[in-house]
Amino acid sequence: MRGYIALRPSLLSGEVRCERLVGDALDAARRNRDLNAFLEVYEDAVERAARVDAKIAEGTAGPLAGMIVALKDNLLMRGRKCTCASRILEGFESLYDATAVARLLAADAIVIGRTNMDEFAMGSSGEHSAFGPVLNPRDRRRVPGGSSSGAAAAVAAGIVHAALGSDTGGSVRQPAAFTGIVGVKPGYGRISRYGLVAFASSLDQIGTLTTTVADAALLLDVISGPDPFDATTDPEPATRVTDDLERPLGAVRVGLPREFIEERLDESVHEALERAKDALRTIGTSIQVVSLPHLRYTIPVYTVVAMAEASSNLARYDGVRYGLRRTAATHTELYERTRNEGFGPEVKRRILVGTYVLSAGYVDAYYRKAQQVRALIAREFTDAFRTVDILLGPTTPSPAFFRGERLHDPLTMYLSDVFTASANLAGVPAMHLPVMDDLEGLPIGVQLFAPMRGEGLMFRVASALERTLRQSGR
Amino acid sequence: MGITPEEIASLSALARISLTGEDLAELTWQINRILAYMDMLREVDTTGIEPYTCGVTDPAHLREDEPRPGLDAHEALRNAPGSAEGYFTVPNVLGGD
Repeated sequence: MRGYIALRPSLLSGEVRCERLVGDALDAARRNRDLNAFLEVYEDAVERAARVDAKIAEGTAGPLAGMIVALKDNLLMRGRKCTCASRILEGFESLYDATAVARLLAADAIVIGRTNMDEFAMGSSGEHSAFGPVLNPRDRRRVPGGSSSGAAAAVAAGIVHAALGSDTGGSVRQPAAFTGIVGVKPGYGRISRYGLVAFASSLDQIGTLTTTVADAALLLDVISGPDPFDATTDPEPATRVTDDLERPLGAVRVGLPREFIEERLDESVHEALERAKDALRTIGTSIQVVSLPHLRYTIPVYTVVAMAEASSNLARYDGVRYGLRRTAATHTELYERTRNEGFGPEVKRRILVGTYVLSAGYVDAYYRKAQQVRALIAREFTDAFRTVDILLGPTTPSPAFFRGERLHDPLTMYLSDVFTASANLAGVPAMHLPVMDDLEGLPIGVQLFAPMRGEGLMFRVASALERTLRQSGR
Repeated sequence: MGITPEEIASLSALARISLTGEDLAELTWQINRILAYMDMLREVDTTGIEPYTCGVTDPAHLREDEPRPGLDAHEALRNAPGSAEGYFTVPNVLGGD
C-alpha cells in the first residue's frame, strides 16, 4: 500500500472507495498470515468503510477519511479485545477508547485490527509474545524489531497505511528501522496516554508508523494535544506539523553526538549515516560533532527506571478485576498462581529486577542513582540544543538480526535500544527515517532528535531529507 | 556481589509471582548480568543532582473536578473473572469457613 496522502485525491473524488481499500487490506492480512503481525483482524471494518464512503460523498469526511490503520495491542478501543500479547489479559474487552484512538476514529480513519507485540511492550524483537513471534516482511528469517513488531510489519508489508504503536525505549523507532519505514516518537506529553496500557509511565509515549514522513505528520496532528484525562499532556495546544512541512529550511544546525559514533556500529549503519550527512549538506544544513558524555549510561539508566516503573504498574494484574484468574485457596496464592501463569519469562524478569531496585536497601543505590543520571542526560540534551537545532544519529547498531539470536541473553537484547532510549529518558521527540538498503537488501536508516516541542522542525528536516534521498535514488 | 537463587525466590514472593517451572539457575545468571551492567552507574558522580522524576514541567496541571458520566458498576465488573452482587469476588481473606 502506497502512502495515504498520495491516495487521498482519488479517495475524495470517489474514484477509489474505502470499502475496496478495506477489502484489499483484509485480503493482504490473510495473504501475510505467516507474518503473525495481527492478533485479530476486524472483518466488520467493511461496514465502517461504507459509512466513511457515504461521508466522503456528502463532503463531510474527516482529515483521515479512508486511512487504513492498525493498532498495537496495548491501545484500547471500546468493545474490542486488548491483551498486550499476554495471557494475563485473556478475554479482556476495552470499556472505552484511548484518546488517540478516539481522535483517529473521529477523523474517519478505519481501524482493521490489533497487532502482535512483545508482551507488555517489553522486548526488541517481537519474540516475546504469548502468541508467537512476528516475522520481518523484508526477510522472514529475521526479527521485525519490537516491541511494536506487528504494527511495523503490517505497515512494511503494505497491509495498512499506518499503525499506532508505543515507544518506551525505542519500541516504535527500532521496528521502523528493521522494517524500513518511518517511526515517530513525539515529545513526552504531546499525545495523551489515556487508554495506553502503562509499562513505564515516565517514558511511555504513543508513536506513529507510516511509509512516508507526510503521512506521519498528518496522523500526528490528529492525535496530538492536551487531554483532560492525562495530566501529563502538555497543556499548550500542539503546533501543527503538517502545515510547514514543505517550507524551506533556512539555516539549520545539525549535531552528531560523538558518543553515538564511538559505539560499535555495523559498516552499513556507518554508510547510512554518511549518506544522510551528504543529503543534509545538500539541503543546506551545517553538521557539527557535539558531545553528550552521559549518553553512555543510557541503557543502565533506562533499565533501572523502566523496570522499576514496570514492577509497580504491573502490580495491577492480580486476577481480581480483569483477565486471567487461577483458582486458589487463599488470595495470596491466587495472585501468585495467576501472575506466574499469566506473565511470560521476559515480563517476570523485569518485574523481579524492578522489585529488586525498589526494595529497601537498594533503592538509593539503583533507583535514585538512575534518576540522577537521567537528570544529567536530560540536561545534556538541553545544552546540546543551545548550539544545534537537531541531533542526528543511528537508530540501531545493526540491521535486523536473526530470530533466536538474542532470545536467551536479555542484556544483549536490551542493547538494541542503545541509540533510542535516550530520547525517552530526556522526554524529547525523535524519529526514524529509512536511508538505504544494505547488500543483503535489509533496510537501514537514521534517527533525528529535536528539543521539546520541536516536532515541527524535526519533520521539516525529515521531509527534506526524504525528498533528497529519494531523488538520489535510494 | 551478585544475587543468589534464594534471594530471587524471596523477590518473587515480594512480587507475588510463584515461579514454578522456571529455570532458576538460568534466571539467576540473567538477572546477575543485568544487575552487573546497571552497576556502571556507580562510577557517575551525582553529588547534588536532583533526581529526574517526571517528564513534564507542571505535573500538577489538573482538570476541573466536575461530575461527569463514568463507568457504572455493571460495566466495571464486566471483565472481572469473579463477581457477585455488584462486587469483585476473591477467596476468603480471613481463615477458612
